[in-house]
Amino acid sequence: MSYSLPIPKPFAHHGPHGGPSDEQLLQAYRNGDHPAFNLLFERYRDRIVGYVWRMLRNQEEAEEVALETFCRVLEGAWKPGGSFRAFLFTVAHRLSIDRLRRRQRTARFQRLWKAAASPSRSPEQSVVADETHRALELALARLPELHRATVLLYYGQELKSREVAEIMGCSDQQVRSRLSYARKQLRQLLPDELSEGES
Amino acid sequence: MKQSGPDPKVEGRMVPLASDGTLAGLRPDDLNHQERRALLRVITSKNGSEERSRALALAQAVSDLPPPTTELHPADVLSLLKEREQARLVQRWRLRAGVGLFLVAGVITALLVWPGPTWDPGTLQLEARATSQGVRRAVGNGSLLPADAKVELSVAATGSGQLFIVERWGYDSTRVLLHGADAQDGPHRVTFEPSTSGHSATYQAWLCPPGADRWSQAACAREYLRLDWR
Repeated sequence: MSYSLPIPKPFAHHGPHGGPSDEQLLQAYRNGDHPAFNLLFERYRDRIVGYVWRMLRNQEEAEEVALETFCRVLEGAWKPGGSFRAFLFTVAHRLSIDRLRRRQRTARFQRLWKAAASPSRSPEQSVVADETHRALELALARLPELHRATVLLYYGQELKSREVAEIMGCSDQQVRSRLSYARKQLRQLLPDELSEGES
Repeated sequence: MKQSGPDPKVEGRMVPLASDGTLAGLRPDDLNHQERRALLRVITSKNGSEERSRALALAQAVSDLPPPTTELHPADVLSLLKEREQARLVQRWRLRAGVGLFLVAGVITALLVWPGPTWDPGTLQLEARATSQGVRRAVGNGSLLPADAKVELSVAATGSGQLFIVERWGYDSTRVLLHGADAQDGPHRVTFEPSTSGHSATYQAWLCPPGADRWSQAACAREYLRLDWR
């Protein structure tokens, strides 16, 4: 039986970049071609900062984690053989989780969190102008961290479920379950027009 | 709609079949053949179609979230990397300097504290024979001898080192009878007449570490005997 499923835009997995692959760029950098890193950096900067920001809800920390992530790449932490982008998000994810754990251990975090959640200092206001985006950001922020990370990696970064599983150190099945749970949660948290869909 | 049948594979991996609700939120390229067919059935049903639409809308919305503005540049990464390398270099030098200092301190301490190679004196034996009026006999500690007796002291050691025999009498009178003889040459004999009469004298044999030019209480082994002269 022959059939095909339409692949919607948000589900479309990016093919090879128009140019050298991530691995080729990194290898070029290691061979002394420093501008190659600029390309690699530009390719992933917004994605990494965006992911980490949505995990941590803090711009400074997001940038620190992004810096640390790229530093580890240049320090040779990535070994050829695995997926580069999965490695990159693995580092960013683990650093984010570390920071979240650290926050939870300190009373200081509670004060900061309350301050950040106050309307006058809401980070959404400085980053998200659009109401829909704002609502979605707030709903994502209310998800448990592992479910939030799964949604951001699978839908936001359009990584394969296998890559998400690798990044989060869990099984494919857990990724699928978390996505399903997260969607149900988000449906309850989001206004009807977004949770009902447009088509 | 639950799936049943043999375990499917996604890119060679064994994965249990997903439920309809789970399937609706997944991309086709993450599904195996059987799941894709199931998804096709799901999206052609009314409920499944709505579920799929909601999932697509959510995925689209999450994907469309704008990245936060950031001023990060590659130079920031390279600069941080350079700082770290310098810090590591300094740390490495500090570590090396610390290790070097520790070693030097250790050597100095060892030189100051170490008593030198362990020296085993073995056993030291001091014997005496006295000859008086043509009669020769062995004498021991505390023996009483006539004033005209000639005494022969014999000292022998099983270990190596320097042998000394010292005669002490009175308040602080001392006479060296044997000075720095090599213990490995065999027993050494010294014949003498007493330096005093009507008193006691003590004869001390010292075995000192090789190279010693004098005896000392701390470093040498000692044997002695006391003789009384009429």
